Amino acid sequence: MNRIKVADRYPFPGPRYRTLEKGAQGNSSSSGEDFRDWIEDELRKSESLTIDLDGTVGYGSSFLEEAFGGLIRAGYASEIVLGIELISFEEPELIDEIKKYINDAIALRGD
Amino acid sequence: MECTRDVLVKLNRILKGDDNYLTFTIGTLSLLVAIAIYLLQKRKSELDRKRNETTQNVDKIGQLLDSLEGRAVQFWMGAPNGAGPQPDHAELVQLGIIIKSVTTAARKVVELTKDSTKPISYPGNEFTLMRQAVTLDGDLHLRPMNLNSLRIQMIQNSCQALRTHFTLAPDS
Repeated sequence: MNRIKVADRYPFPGPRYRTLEKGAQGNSSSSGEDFRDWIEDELRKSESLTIDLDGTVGYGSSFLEEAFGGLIRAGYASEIVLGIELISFEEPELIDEIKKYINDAIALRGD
Repeated sequence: MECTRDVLVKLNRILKGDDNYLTFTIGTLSLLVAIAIYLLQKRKSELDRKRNETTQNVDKIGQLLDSLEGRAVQFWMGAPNGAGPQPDHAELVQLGIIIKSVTTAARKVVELTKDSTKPISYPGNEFTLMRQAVTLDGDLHLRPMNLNSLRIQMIQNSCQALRTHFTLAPDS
């Protein structure tokens, strides 16, 4: 089981797209798009993935939607994305929110 | 063993008269009462500390929600890339940080009240609705929104629901 902690790479989660952030904060990027790329890298290593959401300064919904709904739009199978284990003791409601974005994206794709 | 026996022998010598037994009994009872009072005081102090901390965190939640609602409404009713202090998306990120401050204080309140007669639960659904209403960027092109728009109503309703949820009963 592969496990990543969002705060290790993105302690300050940013906006949805990296282009939006670069304009505001220079070269460092912590967009939902970047986070999705990281998840994709990890899924290539192993489809069994756990993501720890705790430890950041806080998430905007767009960051989460782009990262997880974006996986479906990028063509990942529903069961792989829904199979990602999510952990959040600090804001447990994030898990249901993310699952909603995944399911909305699945519905839009017409699976 | 010998040590215990010595103590008992000495105690027996001390308590030879009825008066001494009475004194011993009164002394022991006084000690027990003092211990009981100490424990009650300690428990009361702990309850007072928890009550004060709960009140402080509830006040903090109220102030954060006021600030969040004001900034969010101003943002969504403002023109795109308007004269606000932040670029549009950076402002949404800042609002997400305020939401985390609210959820952090909320978890403290839940923890502090969990053993009380009126525990306060963690309103996960309300936080989700608020986070989406405030920070989901799908409608950015619809700015400036008017006061009656669904987005503004959702921001106000979710903040109000959370304020109501984190209102302390008079005797809690």
